[in-house]
Order: sequence, then C-alpha cells, then structure tokens
Amino acid sequence: MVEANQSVVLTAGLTKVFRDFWLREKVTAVADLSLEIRGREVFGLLGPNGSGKSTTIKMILGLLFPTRGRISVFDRPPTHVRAKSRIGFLPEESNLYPFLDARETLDFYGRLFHLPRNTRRHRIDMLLDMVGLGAVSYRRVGEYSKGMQRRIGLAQALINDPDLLILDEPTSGLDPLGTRQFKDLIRTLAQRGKTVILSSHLLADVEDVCDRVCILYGGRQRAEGDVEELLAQTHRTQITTDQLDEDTIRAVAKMLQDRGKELLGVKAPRDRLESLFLRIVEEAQQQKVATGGAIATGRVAQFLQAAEGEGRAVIESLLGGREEPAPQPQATEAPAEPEPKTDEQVVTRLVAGPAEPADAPEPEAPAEPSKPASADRGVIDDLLHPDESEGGRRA
Amino acid sequence: MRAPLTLWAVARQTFSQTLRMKLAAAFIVLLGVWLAVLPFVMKGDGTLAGSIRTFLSYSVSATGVLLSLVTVLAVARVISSDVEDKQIYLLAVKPIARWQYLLGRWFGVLLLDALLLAIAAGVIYGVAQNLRARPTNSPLDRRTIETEIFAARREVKPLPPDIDAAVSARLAKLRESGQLRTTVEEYQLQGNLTRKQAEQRVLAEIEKNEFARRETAGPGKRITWKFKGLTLDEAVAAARGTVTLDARKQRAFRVAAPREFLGRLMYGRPVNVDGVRGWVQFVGETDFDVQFAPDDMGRAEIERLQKDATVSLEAEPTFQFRYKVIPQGEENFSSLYRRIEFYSPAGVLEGYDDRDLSVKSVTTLSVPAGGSLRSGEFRVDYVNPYYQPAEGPERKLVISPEVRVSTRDVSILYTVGGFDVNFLQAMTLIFIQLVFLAALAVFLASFLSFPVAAMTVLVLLGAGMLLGWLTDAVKWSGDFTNTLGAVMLLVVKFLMPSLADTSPSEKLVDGIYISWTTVGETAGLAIGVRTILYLALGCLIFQKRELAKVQV
Repeated sequence: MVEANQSVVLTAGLTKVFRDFWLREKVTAVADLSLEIRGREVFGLLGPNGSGKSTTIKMILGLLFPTRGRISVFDRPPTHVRAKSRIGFLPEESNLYPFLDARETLDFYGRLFHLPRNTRRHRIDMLLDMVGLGAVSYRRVGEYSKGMQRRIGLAQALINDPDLLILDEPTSGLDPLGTRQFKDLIRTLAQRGKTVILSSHLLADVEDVCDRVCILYGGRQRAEGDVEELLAQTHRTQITTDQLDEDTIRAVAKMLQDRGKELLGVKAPRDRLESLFLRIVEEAQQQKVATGGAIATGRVAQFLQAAEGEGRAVIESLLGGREEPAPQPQATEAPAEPEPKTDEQVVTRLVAGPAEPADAPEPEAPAEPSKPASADRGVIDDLLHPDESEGGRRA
Repeated sequence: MRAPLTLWAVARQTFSQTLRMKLAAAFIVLLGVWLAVLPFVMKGDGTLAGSIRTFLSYSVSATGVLLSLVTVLAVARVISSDVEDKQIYLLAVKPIARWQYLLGRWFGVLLLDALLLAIAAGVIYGVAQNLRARPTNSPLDRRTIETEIFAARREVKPLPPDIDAAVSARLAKLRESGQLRTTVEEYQLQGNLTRKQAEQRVLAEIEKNEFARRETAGPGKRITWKFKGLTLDEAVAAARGTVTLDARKQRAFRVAAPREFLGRLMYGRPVNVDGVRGWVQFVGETDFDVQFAPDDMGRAEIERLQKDATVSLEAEPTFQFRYKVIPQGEENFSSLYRRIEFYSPAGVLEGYDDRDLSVKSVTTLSVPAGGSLRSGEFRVDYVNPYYQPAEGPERKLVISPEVRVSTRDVSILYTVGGFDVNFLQAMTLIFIQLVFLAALAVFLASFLSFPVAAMTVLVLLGAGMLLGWLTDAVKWSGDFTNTLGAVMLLVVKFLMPSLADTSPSEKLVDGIYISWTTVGETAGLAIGVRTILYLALGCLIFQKRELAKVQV
C-alpha cells in the first residue's frame, strides 16, 4: 500500500522528441514535463488531441523512452519488473488477442503476475461479473463489440489488484451506464488507497473523479492543480430553493439590490442527461425488459474492495474517515453467510449458464452494449434474491 | 526465480495462438496431400525397397521443409504482430522482462513444432513399417529392405591414397627436364599470377592427376582401397524361430523366423540353430531352410528339433561394399564384368565375379563377414578384366574400357544399430534445426516486420541448405577472383550452419547410423552456439527497442 504523501510517479524535465528515419527532429511530443503523482490520488491528464497525453503515459509505462529527463515509477525505472507488477494499464484501444476468449485472456494476464490458480479463477469470476461479461466469457474476444472489449480491457488491468492504475481514454466506447460504473470504480479504488492516472478529453468525466489535473497543450504543461481549487468561482454564489413565483423573484432581486449585489440569472435547474439516462435504464430494469449485450451488475469485484485474506474491519480502520457509503454488495445481499463463499456461490450460479433460463439466449444474441443493459441481470437478481436486487445497484 | 513461470505463460499462449493461426492445420493437410500424392509420382525401380526408400526420402524431407516454414512464419508472425497490432502494450507493462517474452515466444513455437513433428514422425514410421510388412517375392529385395534400409549402419570410407612419393617423383622428373619452369611461366602469363600462385597451381594439378590415376584402371588393371577401424563383431544378427517342417532324412529343417532375420540370411552361408552350425538353403518371406552336416545329425541339439520346437538363431554378420563405376571413353557400356576381391592381411578372403548391372550408379554388394574379415584392417580391389565376355547376338568379345571408381563413392557399411533408434535420432536432428531456425526468426523479428523477417530467414535457410554446394562451387572455381562471392560465402558461413550436412533424410534412407555423437555435435557446435547467439542478440535489440509508435 502506498501512503498518501508518497510519490508514485515522478518525472523531471521529461522530454520526448520524435525523429524520422534520418534522425531529423520532427515533433516535440512532450517538453520539459515535471510531474509528481502521489499515492491515493486520482490524477487527470487533460489536453486536446495530440497534446502529448498518450506519449506521457507510454513513457510512464516504459513503452517509449524519454529523449531527455528522468522518470521513475515506485522509485524504479518504468521497465523494472518489480515496478510493473504493481501497475494496471488500460490502453486507448483494446489490444487484446482476438482468438482468446474472455476467460483465457484474463487467465493469461493473471499468469504473468504469477497468481496461483485458485486466486486466478476467483478473481476472473469476480471481474467478469463486475464488467458484466460473465455470460459471454467463452466467446472469443475478437467477436466482441468495442464496448465489450473495453470491459475486458478493464478487467485485465485490475487482475493484479494494482496499486497504480493507468487509464488511457478510459470511457471511450463505453455506454453511459458503463461510464458511470467506471467512475464509481475509480472512486472506490481511490478510497481503497490506489493511485489512478487517467487521460481524457471528456471533461465531465475528469471533473467527476479527479483530485488533481494537469492540462497539456503542445506537449507543455499549461496548468496543474487541485480540481476544486481550479474550478471554484470564489466571486459568485449560487442558491438553490423550491420553485419561486415571479413576485418572490422580484422581491429577492430588490433585496439583493438593497445590499449592493446584482441578481445575475434565474432559471429552473436542468437534470443532467446522464442522470436522466440512468434513471430510465433503472426503470426498465425494474420492469424486467429483456436485452442482449453486456449485463453489468455495477458491483465492484470483491478483491478490489478488500485486500484478500484481510478482515473487513482492518480495511475500514485503514480507510478511516474517508469511507463513504462504499459499495459492499455481498454484505447487504446475504448477511447470514460468510462473505467469500456467498460471492463465489452467486458468481458460480450466475456464470453456470444452463441453470438460468434468462441466460440461455445469450450466446447467439449479438451482444450490443451500447443499448441499455442490465435487464437480464435484474431478472436474475430478482430470481435469486427477490429483496436485494437494488442493493447490488448501489455501487 | 519466477522467470520459468512467466516463460511458461507466454509459451502456452504462443502455442494456442499458433494452433489457432491454423498453421498447424495447414501443415497437417499439406503433409497429408503430399503423402497421398506420393504413390502416383513415385517411380522407383519397381522393387519394394525402392518404394520404401522413395517414401522415406520424400516424406522426411517434406516434413523438414514444411516444419521449417511453419516455424519461421509462426515466430515472425507472433512477434511482429504483437508490435504492429499493439498487443505488446498490454504485455510489456506486465511484470515480464522483454527477454522472457522473446524466449517464451521461441519456446511456444517449439512446443508446436514438437507436437507436429511427433504427429508426422508417427505417420511416417507407421507407413514405413506397413510397407516393410508387404510381401516381396525377391529375397534380394527383402535383403535390401532389412539390411540397407531398416538398419543403422556405420559407413567407413577408405583411407586416402598416399600420393606424396609419387608427386615428388613426378615433380623431380619435371624439374629435371626443365618442363616445370616453362609450365610455371606459361601459367603466370595466362592467369596473370605471381610465381608462387602459378607453382601452387602446377602442384595442385599434379596432385589431381595422381589421385585420378589411383582411381582409374585400364583393361587388366586394378584399383585398390585400404580400410581401417572396422568392428564387424557388433553386427551378428540373433532371433528366435520355430521349426515348421522336419525333413530329418534329408538332414534339413524349415524354420519360421522374423522378417528382419530372414533379410540377413544368404544362400549357402552358415547359420547357427541352437548353437549348431547349418547352411542356409532356401530363404522365403516367412521361413528358411537349413541343412546340417551328416556329422552333426547325431547331436542332442538336433535331436530336439521337431515341428513347433522353438530355436535360437544366429546369422553371421554381413557388410555392404558400395562403389560407383564409370567407364571412360566413347563406347557406351550398360553393364560391366568385374571382380571384387576382399583381402585380409593374410590373403584373399572373398572374391566376387559378377556382371555389374548398375554402371554409372551406386552398386551395393552384400558380403558375409566371416573369419578375419570381421575387424581391423583390410583391402578391397576392383579388378577390371582384359575382356568383357561376349554378349548380344554377335557374341563379340570386346576389350574392357578404362574404368574410374572415385574414392568419394567407395565405402563399407555395417550394421551397428536398429532402425527405430535411428529414426528417433533423425527426428531429433530435424528438431534441432527447427530450434535454430526459430532462434534466427526471433532475432530477425525483434527488429523487422513480419514479411521482411520471414523472407530474410527463408533466404538464409536456402543459403544454409546450399552451403556445402556453394563452398564447393567457390573452391572448384580455382582462383578467388570473385572476391565478392567469397566474402558473401564467408558471411553466410558465419550466419548459418551447413544444414545439408545435418539433413537426416539421406542417412535415414540409406540406413546410415546417426549417432548421438553426430546429434550432439550438430546441436552443440554448428547449431547450438548460433542459436544462443541469435537469441541473445534478439533479446538485446528488443530490450533497446521502443515498443510504442509515434502518435502525435
């Protein structure tokens, strides 16, 4: 585990110049970038296309070597095996082997971390469940839609329960539900003390999850700092109340005028499209509308929430006051049974296709995660735990 | 400490990747088609032995070539596609060193090779044994099958003739007559050479002439070779048989015996039955007749011989003498009369007067190795008679032509092991070549794209196959005027082992023993060192390589 003030990634004067075949300098992709990414923070790399985000990430991962400057990850060079064993990486594109199925893919990457067979199987089940591909895990990855490949990409990035998670454009290709789950996952991991680096140009996503951001343009750092501080408009105040009629508004305006302040605008707040969308999907799930495609539970895999082998109490005490209403689905779902066993049972039952009538059409049905998902899971959850299908969605 | 686990994970993945690339399926289909078409294109000499030889030769070399292709394509493909399709992004950021990745890929393809080679070897072995079990009505054919194909024989070449004395004598004579100086000067002018070069050329020519003189024989003359270091004792054939016919009154018995034993019997030669020496009469496909001397008929061992009795059998060792005779001159001879004589240090042991029907191609003579021929040192003479016996309707007597038997084509072969072990060793040799090729492909794919890497390996593979031939071509062209060619040859020699030297199909077809020493030498020196070198170079390059591309 990394302490909060400990630096995880440190770059000093990092510069990357791309040369052509004749070694002539072509592009300066990253110029003199000095960053310190500390433990337990969610760090956002922002910038327009071609601003050097991906190049920076590739240097942090040791896929590119810096032209000048220094870089260390967990106090080691990025290509060091020890450093790499603590990293999870989700690339911009999927980069998976199309001929392996989801399970084989995760098993392969799990082997590279020398995870014992049982741990591997346990984690694969949980991760597949988490990313909603449990029912289609025996199909080849090459047959998956882009969104489903992203989900497997995420699962492989988490297989080693990494201390540092690096996400390159993480929400591209994901439906809003997936995006939302992604953001929830990042928050959960951050609460568990993980460090997350993500690059994006979807500003809403960055704003929702990041503690600190760095904005790049032309390979140079233009701004860096705490998101709250950067976005705070200290010279303005926003008040939200019940709906007001014209008279009251006029009275408020007059009162403000008396005190030398001006009323700058009055409007009914709009719901965010994301919230609307998620509400509609949730309603559809409650009405048990059938769907193909990914069926995400929205639950975060257990091993990512609590260190395996450690008691929950230990984790909670470690997390201390930072613990928000963290998702603990298995605790609410079946309080009578011991935790891991319950989870395994649920997963086994969910994954073991034939027993589930709702699962049966899955393999033939072309899965399309861009459609509203989760209806099937709703049905299954209801069948298995009539009173808890909501509990699982809380995450 | 955990490197093997990582290597194994990558190797496993490579194995399943290459299997799913359908390369393996293509290999099996192509080899199957090749083996199915083979009977139609096989001409052979009409004998069963000929068919078996053709089958073994074509199927083993096809397996080698196809598997080489599979190896090169698979290695080049899996490594360069990882980089091109960016799957390496996910791999390289996992706790795996780059050398572990490359070695894992290498090992994974070798796993595939091992599987495919095992399948091919199983099929080839099965078909070969099936062909061997087919009936042939010629005992000679059977003998060839059992002693020259389904055997592992050691090949002994004659000692090189000692020409030093003759060469110095010739030189002295030339010097005396003053011819030497004029010839050297002539050569200097002709070839624009230094004096030393010209002298060397004259010497080389004299030596060449002297060698040629030792290899040719005019009418009534003979060519002589000396052999050393033979150990024929190992070649005794033993088996168990069953008496099937008891013709005691004729002092004869019929004994059923395994085919491989029957193949070693020769008419009129001794055979031991339960320790008593008898003489071979008739040899069939499943049994043979043995006749005993009157004196031996009273012996207890023979009393015991009756129908269905099991007996132990021992045949005397045989060896094969192999040569190729080429008549000189204008006249065309399709066959030649000659006598081959085998001398022990004490005197003539065996002589074969015979018409040689396979003029200009290899002739094999089976010789029983009795008495002191068994081991040590002896001499063989090819005797060219004065006259060729009358032949054809005219019945005209002709003077024998001058004949030439090149020392290169002469050898003595004798059995030292069985076919099964030899077959296994041949497959091992193929596998060693694949190990090397895979390493070469790893090296090239560590910095080249798939098509370039694959093409380069294939070109080098071709050069490696032709290396012996290329070397000869440069050597026999005499002068090294073609410096570029010589330099290129040196480069190829450095890069590639001579693959033709280690090609097992010829040896297998000829029933030549492939010793573990051969296998070890091949693995250790020619190929092993280069394999390690290529793998190390590949790892070094890959370590320094940026695996991501420019994307700004």
